[in-house]
Amino acid sequence: MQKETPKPVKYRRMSFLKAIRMYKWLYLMLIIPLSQYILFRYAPLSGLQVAFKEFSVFKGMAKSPWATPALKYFQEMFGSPQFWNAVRNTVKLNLLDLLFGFPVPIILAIMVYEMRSLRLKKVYQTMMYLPHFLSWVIIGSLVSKIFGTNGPINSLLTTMGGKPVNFLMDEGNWVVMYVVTGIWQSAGWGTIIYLAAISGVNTELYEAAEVDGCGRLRRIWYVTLPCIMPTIVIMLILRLGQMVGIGFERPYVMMNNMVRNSADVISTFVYDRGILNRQYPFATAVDIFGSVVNMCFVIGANLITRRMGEGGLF
Amino acid sequence: MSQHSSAKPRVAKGRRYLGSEIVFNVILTLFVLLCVLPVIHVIAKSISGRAPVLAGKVFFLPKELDFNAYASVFNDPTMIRSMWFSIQWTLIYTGLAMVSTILLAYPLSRHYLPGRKVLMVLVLIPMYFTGGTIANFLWVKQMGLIDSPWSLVLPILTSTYNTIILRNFFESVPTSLEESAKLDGCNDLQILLRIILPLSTASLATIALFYAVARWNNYADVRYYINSSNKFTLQMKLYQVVFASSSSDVSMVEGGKNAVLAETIQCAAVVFSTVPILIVYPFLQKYFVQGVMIGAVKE
Repeated sequence: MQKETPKPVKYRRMSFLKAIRMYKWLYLMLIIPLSQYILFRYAPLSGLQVAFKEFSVFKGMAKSPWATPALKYFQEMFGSPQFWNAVRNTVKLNLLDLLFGFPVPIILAIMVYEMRSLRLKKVYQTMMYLPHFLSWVIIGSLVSKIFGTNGPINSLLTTMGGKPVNFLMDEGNWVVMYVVTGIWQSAGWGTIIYLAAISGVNTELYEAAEVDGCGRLRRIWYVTLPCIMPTIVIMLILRLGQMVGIGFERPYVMMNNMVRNSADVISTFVYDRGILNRQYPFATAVDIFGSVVNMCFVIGANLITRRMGEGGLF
Repeated sequence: MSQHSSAKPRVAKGRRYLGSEIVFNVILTLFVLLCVLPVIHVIAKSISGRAPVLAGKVFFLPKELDFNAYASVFNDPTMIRSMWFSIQWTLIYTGLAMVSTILLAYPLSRHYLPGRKVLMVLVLIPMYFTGGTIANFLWVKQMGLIDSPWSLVLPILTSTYNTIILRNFFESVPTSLEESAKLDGCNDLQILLRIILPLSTASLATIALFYAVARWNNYADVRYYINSSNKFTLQMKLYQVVFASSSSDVSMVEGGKNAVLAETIQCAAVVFSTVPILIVYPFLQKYFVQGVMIGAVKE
């Protein structure tokens, strides 16, 4: 019974072999997840060399010759108007998302918090979280059914004597639809983090404000908002960190040929060039560009929040 | 003083904030209606007759009740196959992902484990830098997994985010339990299985739901890796039905030479693929909010 009982509380350096023997079960557990990380997170990085090679599927990755000059495909990328179009669209759609989408969950959270009836609060929350759980394919289908040429919005417009509007095939309208859909999907869910912040506000402050004769709106403006400002700033910075990336599904599902020019973002551009048209080196170069810029933004955002004393993301 | 603040506002509050109360309620009601009405609209369309749908008369209530669209969906073997395929691989994925996540999160949560810091860095790096779509695609291809359902499982088996959430939870389990178990001669695996896991069922349920919903809703990787239609998930199938129904997808258009039947069928297909999410939604909502909260607690 007395054999090698580990003393977990002691924090002491020990020899590698001794550690392995002592914690063999813990290390054995790691075999499955670590092999997954190595096999599917780290090993795929070897594919990045394709961006610098004249890649041929038949020769394989290792035997394909290096491109001359080595940065050939990066030059091609920087010279490609479609690439710059995709970058522009990515930043533009992200900025619009930020401008119109960012304040919505804050406003909603404050209003939900102010609800006096607990039951009503629950009902509102239950309903506004729903869109978050629908896939983008389902959301895209809903949008096309509702705003399509024979959808209810257009039939309403025509019965009121207006002209039908092409919401999804016109570039300007499409961008609006893209942003609105994004807000629809994420605003309700986004309230959670702000609700948590608001319920952390010291209630004595509210009472004090009330004693001083503050109305509800003034109290929200002078107490609630300043108190959750740190959370707002952190969310803003983290959001700014994602400025150069847009997931594949949302633009892809909403896109159609008529609006390709304004809807093509980096992720859809990579899919089109790489997977559909098999221009692997070129598409990998675009991937690397996106990854590196994105990483700089995310790390930058993290450094800023950390400097503000909020601990960063991790 | 305290008498005032406890007694007075109770009466006064109701009237004093009446204006803003009404405004807030109106705005919130509008917003939640917007959240739910699109789904209701599609449900209404899916059980309406062709004529009112063609005339654009269906809004939130079905007109000329007609369940033929559902008959078409349920009689379409490809639709049912996609449904089963999705269910099957969502379950497989969730199970394996849970095993892998637990086995990673537990050692990471043992602060005395030598090498834990290195391990953490190793786990975090892919969060910041990934190979990107093409490098991953080429790797999956090189592994011979293109067009295999395993391409939808193995590359995303362990989510770093979920691992950290679970690790935070494991860390909060009192160490005294572990120590007494060790005195009784349990090894670390036994401690995990007999003590830690039974104490963390709520967190485990949360994480499992995270995984299941992610797999169920994911569409991009099916688009990237799967070619044959007998391995299409429900999302992929739905995309085809709704956005490519003009193509030669015979089985869906079959029986409906006119576009309107296709429209109601499309709506039925949307409902068909939304229902599983709606069924688990009450659990989802409860556990996901908790999950977000656990995740918000930083290291």
